[in-house]
Amino acid sequence: MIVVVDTSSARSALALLSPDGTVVAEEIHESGRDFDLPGRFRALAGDQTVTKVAVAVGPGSFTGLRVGVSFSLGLAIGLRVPIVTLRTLHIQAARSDDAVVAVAEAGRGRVYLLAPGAAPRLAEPADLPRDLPIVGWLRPTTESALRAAGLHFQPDSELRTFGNAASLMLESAPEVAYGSLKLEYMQVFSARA
Amino acid sequence: MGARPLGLTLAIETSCDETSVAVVADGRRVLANVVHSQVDLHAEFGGVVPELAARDHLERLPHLLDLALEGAGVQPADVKLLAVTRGPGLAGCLLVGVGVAEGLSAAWARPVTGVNHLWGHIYAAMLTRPDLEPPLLGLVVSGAHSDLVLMPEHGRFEVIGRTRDDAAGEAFDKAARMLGLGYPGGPALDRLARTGHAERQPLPRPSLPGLEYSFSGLKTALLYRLRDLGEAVGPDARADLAAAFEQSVVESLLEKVDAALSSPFMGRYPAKPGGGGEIHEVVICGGVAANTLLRRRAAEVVGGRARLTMPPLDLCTDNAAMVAAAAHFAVAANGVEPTTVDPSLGW
Ligand SMILES: [Zn+2]
Repeated sequence: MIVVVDTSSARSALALLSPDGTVVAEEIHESGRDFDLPGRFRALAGDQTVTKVAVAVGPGSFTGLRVGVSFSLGLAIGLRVPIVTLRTLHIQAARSDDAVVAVAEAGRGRVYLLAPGAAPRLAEPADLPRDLPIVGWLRPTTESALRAAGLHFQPDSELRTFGNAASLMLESAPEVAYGSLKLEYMQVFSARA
Repeated sequence: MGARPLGLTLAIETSCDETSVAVVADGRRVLANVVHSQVDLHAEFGGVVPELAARDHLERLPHLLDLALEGAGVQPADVKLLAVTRGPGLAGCLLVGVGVAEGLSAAWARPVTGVNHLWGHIYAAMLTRPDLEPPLLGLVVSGAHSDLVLMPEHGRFEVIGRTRDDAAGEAFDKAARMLGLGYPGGPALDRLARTGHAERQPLPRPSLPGLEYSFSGLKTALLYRLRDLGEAVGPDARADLAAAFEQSVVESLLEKVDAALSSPFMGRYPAKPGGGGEIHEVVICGGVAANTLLRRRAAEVVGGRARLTMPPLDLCTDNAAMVAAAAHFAVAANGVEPTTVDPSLGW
């Protein structure tokens, strides 16, 4: 089984895929202190044999990313199985066959976004392209701000599930050495106070 | 193949700027204790940059895990308990250690327990002396702590005194910066102080009532003295000031150890069921316990009243062996504790 972990945005997702990419199980939770990643992993995986770990490496929340990536790394090392990385915005974009704008929560009312044919970037709700539907997991307040700005969210019923989108991404997901996992933050930080 | 040791704990420590993994048998015998110091990574910034520290922990841990298991000559299947520092420390750094420990726990189907970093420092002394047992009086001194701790028995701790402002190690770092020394400041100040004479540039000795510490006034006194001296601060005056500053910090730290040892409340905790309440063991630990003057003066101040244990340098600074030891005894006393990151825990 392949385990997929994404705790980078406002919702946290776990999926279990068979080696051929079929989704066996998946679940989505609100991110935050109450989400127990190790507990949910144990419940989902049970005693099935895990052969690969896939983890979303952002961009997204500093805390969420650290939780998901370090747990996935420990799991892969402990099981001696490969770890592959998925990009948060690309998973959301893969949920639709149409042109969409994929978003992820960036905090302080801002979003990370991926528009077709462009590089991922950080934006204020007012700067988002208006001609395409939005796909992605945001905090309720951020989502409301986007709706208030006139943006339209693609309904979940018209989208692939997280697990199915991740399955599509897995074909091209790079395997990473245990010591070379890097998070995609996109927000610059200043080392000098 | 010989018999495998029982009760192996594998511990991870990532609370600040040291990445460490250790394997300890029965909470006492260190089979491996590998430490990667990030000091070079942070040197150009003159202090620990939390974001850089957290990234580095993530990159270093996999290799350190291999080194620890290889060094201990054990297989993952031999590990019975996983332990990890859950606080106090830098939140982003703690998350990495806790996450990896949780992942290993899920993979190996072994319990994982969260450890208070401060208690870890005290257990470094137990690794130093196999016969050391509570009750004990501990002084944990580092860049983040100046805490007097009473430990009546395994897994039980009571902070009886702490700093109101700067920690001792933090005070040393700030003084070192004022004196134009490099980073990390503590060891540099220690070296310079060895060549100076404290009595030539006397500084006030901070003294609060009770068992509390305060070092910010001393820091301000140094700042004003440097300002007053102006051009006159040559290398000799700098060395004298380093010696005076160090002396004030060290004597202030030990004054409270002395007071605690003399205090009647030490009798409040029975050593063992039915036993007496005397404290016969003093532990001084944490990164600042590496300081030359503190090591010398502590022996004099504690004198014949109790046995003094100061762990060797490699166990004074942050390391995972102390976390493994603390976990082993805490689980025996209190059961498995949560691993949720709590950066404020025990501050
Ligand atoms: Zn420490």
